[in-house]
Amino acid sequence: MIEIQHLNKFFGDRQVLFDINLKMMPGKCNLIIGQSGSGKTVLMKTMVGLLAPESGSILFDGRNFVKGNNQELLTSIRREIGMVFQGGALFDSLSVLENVMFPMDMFTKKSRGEKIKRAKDCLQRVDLKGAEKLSPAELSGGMRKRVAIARAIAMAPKYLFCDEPNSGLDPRTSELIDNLIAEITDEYGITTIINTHDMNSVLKIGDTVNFIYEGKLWWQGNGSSILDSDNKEIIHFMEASELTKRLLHNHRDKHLTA
Amino acid sequence: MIATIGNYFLLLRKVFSPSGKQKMFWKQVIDEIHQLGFDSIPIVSLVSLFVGAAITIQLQINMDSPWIPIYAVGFATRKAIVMELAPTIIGLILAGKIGSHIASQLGSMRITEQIDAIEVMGVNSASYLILPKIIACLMFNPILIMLSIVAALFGGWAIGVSVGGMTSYEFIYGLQSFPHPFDLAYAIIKTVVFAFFISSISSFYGYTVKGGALEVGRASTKAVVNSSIAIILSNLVLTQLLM
Repeated sequence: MIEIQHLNKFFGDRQVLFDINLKMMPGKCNLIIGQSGSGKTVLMKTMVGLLAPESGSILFDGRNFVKGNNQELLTSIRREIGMVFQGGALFDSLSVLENVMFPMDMFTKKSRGEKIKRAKDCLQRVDLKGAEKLSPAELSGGMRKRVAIARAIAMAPKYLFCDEPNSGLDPRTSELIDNLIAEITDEYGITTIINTHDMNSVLKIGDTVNFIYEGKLWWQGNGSSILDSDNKEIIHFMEASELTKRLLHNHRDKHLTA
Repeated sequence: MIATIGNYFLLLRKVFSPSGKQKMFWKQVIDEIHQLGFDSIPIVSLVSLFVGAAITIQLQINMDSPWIPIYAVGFATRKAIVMELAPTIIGLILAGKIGSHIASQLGSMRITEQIDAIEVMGVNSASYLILPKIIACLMFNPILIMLSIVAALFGGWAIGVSVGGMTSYEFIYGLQSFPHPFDLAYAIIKTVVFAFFISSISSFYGYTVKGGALEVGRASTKAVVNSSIAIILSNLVLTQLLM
């Protein structure tokens, strides 16, 4: 389980995260939602160790990798992490297959044949069979995200972090990516943490939902309870999407009728 | 300025820390030798050929005296090329070519989160990405300088014999006169130092880019300018120390 305790993060004099306390449910899709600039990407980058917090703890199964700047512990925890970046962050100089093989090349003693087999299995899992020899420049946005997911699961991680996995994608592809992440989370029993501002994802795959507003944890719940929330900021956030706005109104009408 | 120098040394400390598998490291070094070394052969050869020819013409004009033997042109050409032209001028050319390549490559990787992706996997990204570039430059730049010397001397010989009014024998006799093997060692020592500055300074500016495409361009310019300054300054210091 991942547990965050009293996390504070500053950029110079500006505080961007204020005393964040939250727990991520093991084996579930844990969503961090909020509008752009609310601090959710900073929170995720702090959780994976790309940014150092000024104070607070981040515990991975009880191991605090913030305290004492223990590089060895940080490295060992990072090897349990897979991460899907917003733009995919695929290595331009490598083919799709080499991208997926990269973490295995760095950390395993498997033979080349075994690594190729595992990479192909991962690519097949994300429906990209036959794309092995393509370069990242030849891929569409959705394909890049799927290769990034394949690379993230290649080492069978315990934790999967996804930073806005469906940003820049059309609704159909977004849904495919959401489904894929949810299926992988179930299949492998991974603890998945997703940063998103897509309400479709929240309603569909949000086992737990953490709403961040102006760097503070404003609300916690799940995908189904969010429609019942009377929190002004969440309602404002949900109503920004016309589809969610209608859904919210229908939901309230039903309640009133009942 | 002091903060930048401090950050440069902090990055160097990270670069020389272990990154991962040795096999992957040497594969990276070979790739970098190809990209940074072999791809520089045409520009190094071309520049050396023409600058070597120009130096010979200048020397012929300025040494045209009954008191100076004609073969002295070949000797002076060799001295000028081995001592300064090849290591320093080609060092500056390589600062432009290799420096901008390294800074823009690492800068692009930084702004597209590829470096973050490497870091999240638990790999020391600075060591994995920068050390092979430094090693490749340290290994291959001396070869490029040897090539530059050969090309420049050939350019000097060709122009001297064809339009300079000297015979091939006179030029080659001049080249072989008063041999001083340390000159070559001096050129290689300077080249190795310059190679380290070019690769490490350019990597520093590329690796530490913050922002977008505009910043990558700025980092590339800073990399070339600061590598060139480091070459000029260290050239003075090395000349004083080694001569």
